[in-house]
Amino acid sequence: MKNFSLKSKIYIGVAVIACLLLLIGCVSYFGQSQLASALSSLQRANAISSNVLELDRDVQELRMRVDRFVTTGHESLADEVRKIHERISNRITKAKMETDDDEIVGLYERIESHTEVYGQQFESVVEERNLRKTLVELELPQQASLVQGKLDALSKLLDRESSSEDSLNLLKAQANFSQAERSLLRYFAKPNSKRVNESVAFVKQATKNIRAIKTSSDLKNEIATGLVEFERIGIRAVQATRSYLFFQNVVMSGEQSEVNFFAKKLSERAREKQDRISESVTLTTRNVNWITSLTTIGAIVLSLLAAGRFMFLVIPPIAALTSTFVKLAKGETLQDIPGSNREDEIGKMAKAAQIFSDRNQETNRLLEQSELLAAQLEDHARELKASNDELDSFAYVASHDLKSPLRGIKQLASWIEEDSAGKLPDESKAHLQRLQARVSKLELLLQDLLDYSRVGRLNASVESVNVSTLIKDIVEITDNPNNVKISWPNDLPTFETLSSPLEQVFLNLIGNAIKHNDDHNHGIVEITWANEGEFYVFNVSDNGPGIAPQNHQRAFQMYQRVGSKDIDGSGMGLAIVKKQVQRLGGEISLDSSEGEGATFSFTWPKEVNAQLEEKKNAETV
Amino acid sequence: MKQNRRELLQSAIGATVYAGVAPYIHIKRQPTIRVLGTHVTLQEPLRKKAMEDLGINVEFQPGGSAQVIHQASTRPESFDLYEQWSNSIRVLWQANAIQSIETERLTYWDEINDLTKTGRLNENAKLGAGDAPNKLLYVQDDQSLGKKPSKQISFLPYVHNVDSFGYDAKVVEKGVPYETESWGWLLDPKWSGRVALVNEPTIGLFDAALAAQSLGLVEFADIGNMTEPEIDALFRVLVDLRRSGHFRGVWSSVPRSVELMKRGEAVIESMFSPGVFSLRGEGVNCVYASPKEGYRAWHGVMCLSSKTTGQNKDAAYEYMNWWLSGWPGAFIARQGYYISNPQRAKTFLSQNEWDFWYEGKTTQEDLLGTDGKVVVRKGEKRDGGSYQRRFSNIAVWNTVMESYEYSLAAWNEFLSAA
Repeated sequence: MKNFSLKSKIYIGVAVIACLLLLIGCVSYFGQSQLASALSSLQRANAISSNVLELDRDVQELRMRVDRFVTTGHESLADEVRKIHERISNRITKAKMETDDDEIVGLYERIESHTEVYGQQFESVVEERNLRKTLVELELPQQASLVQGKLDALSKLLDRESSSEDSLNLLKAQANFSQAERSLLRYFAKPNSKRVNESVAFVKQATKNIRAIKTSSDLKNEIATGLVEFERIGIRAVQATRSYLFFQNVVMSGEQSEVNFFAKKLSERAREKQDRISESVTLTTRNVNWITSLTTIGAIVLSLLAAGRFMFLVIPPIAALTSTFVKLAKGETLQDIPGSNREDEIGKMAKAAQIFSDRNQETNRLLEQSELLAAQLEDHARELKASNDELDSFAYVASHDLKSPLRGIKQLASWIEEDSAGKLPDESKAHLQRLQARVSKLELLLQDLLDYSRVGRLNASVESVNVSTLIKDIVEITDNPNNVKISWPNDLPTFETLSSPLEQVFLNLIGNAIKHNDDHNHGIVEITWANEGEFYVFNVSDNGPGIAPQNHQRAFQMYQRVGSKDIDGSGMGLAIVKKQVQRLGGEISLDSSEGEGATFSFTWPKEVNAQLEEKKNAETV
Repeated sequence: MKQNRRELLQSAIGATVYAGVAPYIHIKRQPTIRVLGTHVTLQEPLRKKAMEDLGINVEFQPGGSAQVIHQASTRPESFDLYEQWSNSIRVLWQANAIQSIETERLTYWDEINDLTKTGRLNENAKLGAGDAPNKLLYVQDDQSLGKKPSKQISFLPYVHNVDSFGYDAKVVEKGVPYETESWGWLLDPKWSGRVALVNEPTIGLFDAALAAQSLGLVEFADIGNMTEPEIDALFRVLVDLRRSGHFRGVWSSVPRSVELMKRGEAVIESMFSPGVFSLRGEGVNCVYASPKEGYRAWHGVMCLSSKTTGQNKDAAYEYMNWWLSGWPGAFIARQGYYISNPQRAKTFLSQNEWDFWYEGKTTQEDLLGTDGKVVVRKGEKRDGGSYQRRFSNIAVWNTVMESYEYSLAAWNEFLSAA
């Protein structure tokens, strides 16, 4: 685990918790399935119990019907018995198909086999009972009547022809026969073997008495034969009675007792099954609850442990790293980065922090170097500014101080010219005039130089400037010999700014545009503007000869002239413009090419910088 | 050596052909005898052996005891010979379903022992209550059955045995024969729920009566001829016990009795000898009790149908004689039954078999039953001892009493009690 990454550890932790959740799910599902299965089994067991109850009821009904049939011999009752028997058989067949418990099927099969025998035996009962009915209710009375008729006939014969001894034997035989008949009837009313034996003995006695009659008559043999037949029918009826009584009381009753036994077993088995299922349900529920609870607790504990462990693994090092990064963000450099010996993500972050630290160290080194360079640069700038200032002062002083002597020279030359008018040769006059011209030019140069050096020196104050008015005023004072058309929009802004510098910028640009325009009839100067953030953008375009791109930079340099040499100028105009614009934080650019006219665009702050004001004021002082 | 019928027939045919006198051979139709009885004696090996020895066709119609007695008493034309127990004789005789048998036509009549002829095997033997075979054997002058010897008998004496109850010695502690073993065990509450009786009132009734009498629950003036009040008294006891769940139930066939004990459903029950040996063969230590009160004895009867005549009657006599000729006696001895002329069977038994089955001695080797399986292990001794000893202790004979019909209703009440 030690070498595992945090990602792996998180994945493992999540996987373990997911597994536990899955286990909970599985346990719940298994439990539900078990309970559903148990419920189904319970229903089947209940069905068995219910079926056994119905079976018991049917068997009792069957027995009752059989008893009634045996008592009455009514065929309709036999049909009822058969129907009930069939119902029982169908019930057993159906019940067997509805269960998959081998033991229960076995019990049903045993019940079935006994029921089958019961049914077979009942048919024997029916057969014998019907036979007895026929014998007792039909054949036996007929035979008795036949014998009785013969006895009566013999009696009549003996009354006419015989002795009293024969009559006595006949009377005895008649009495014997009556007793035999009565004994049999008593047997059929309440079966008892004694009655049968009595009946047989009476028949034999009757036969004996008949044979003792001396009077000759065929009737005697006929009666003897009739008595034998009577005995045969009677015995057969007795046999039939004994048979069905045996079938009913012994065989069928035995089979029924087995049916009852196995039905009871079946009921017990179903009850056991119900109890077992109930126990199983309780146990399963308890187990599922236990397992679910344990697994849930396990999942919670494991989650907490994992979270704790993860917090322990992650939060302190992350906090340390955060602190480290905060320090690193502050530019500090650290010798010892916490967690840098780890192999996981934190280790990687620590290594990254180490890199930051190293970078910081390098940055600091560079910064120090940069600061050193900046200081040097500042020194250089300061020196440069001092130099510039000195130069400006020199230029100012030179131009200012030179103006007076130059004006003196000019005045003197004028005086010389005036004083020596006609005295000086022409050549000297020409030289004098040339001197005056050169002095004038020098004076112009000095004036421009003075203007340039004065940029920022004049104590201009912030005032509301209407740019449109400003341009109009400029146009009016500007010499425009070729009537160059000058246009500007009416919506030019009015804002608080330094008026003179702006005026000088526009004056120089418009002046240049008019002065250098070589299209005498169609010269156009167009002034446009735009509002861009903190600045206004002003464009001064013309359709003049244009400036070749290679001269764009040079055009803004001092004393550099890029236009026609025929046009007067000191070459300081654009340099002054640039200095004015840049002084207030603006920029100036030139868009032009030869023969395509030129557009000078400069930006002018909407609000003059306070510092600049202070600086300007300080410089002025 | 005695020539059997087939050999005689074959020699007759051979002689005829050799003589060449007759233009064609007239072979007398081979007679078929139909034997109705129970599985006790209607066993396939016996039938095959009889056919082989006699050269006649033998058809067996085996069935339950109730079924066969019913068929025999009502349809004598459906069989030639009837084999069952002596308790069916009165019924058959009264129904004129059987005819008397002439002792003169029985080859081994003189070898029949005294048990059948006098009711006891020796002078010291108990005379059992009920219908001893001698009381039913002889046809009297008035065509009734009695013990006065005559040349006409109602049945051929052959298979007989004494029955008692069997118990599983694994559960029921083994008792001492004739001393502690008692019919009363059947009603011992210790075995409640695991007691079974044979479902036959003429048999099971006596088992229950002997048990109740042994425990002093009921007194019988003559247990072989119970009165209705005695039957009432007996069944009051039995019904109460049944209601209390004492009895597992009743059985109607030997295999069922075996099954009951094998499954453990019954540990003590009415038993027939083959059932006991079958259980032993299957590893159940079933002891055939020798009750101190005496056995319930029974005697097999072979009866001649009243409708059998002529050639079939001759064949029936041959079959009866064959039964006493030795081999069948030996065969059924291996199932624990005795034959009425044991000495002739002895010649077909090994000494060990004879010693075990008839003399009650310890066998020196394993003994096989009729199915070829070992039924007696070396060193075992027959329960109850020798033939003489066992038949000297008869309490009662299986009997159809005058109260038979009454007992049927009582039996039904017993079976239905719950």
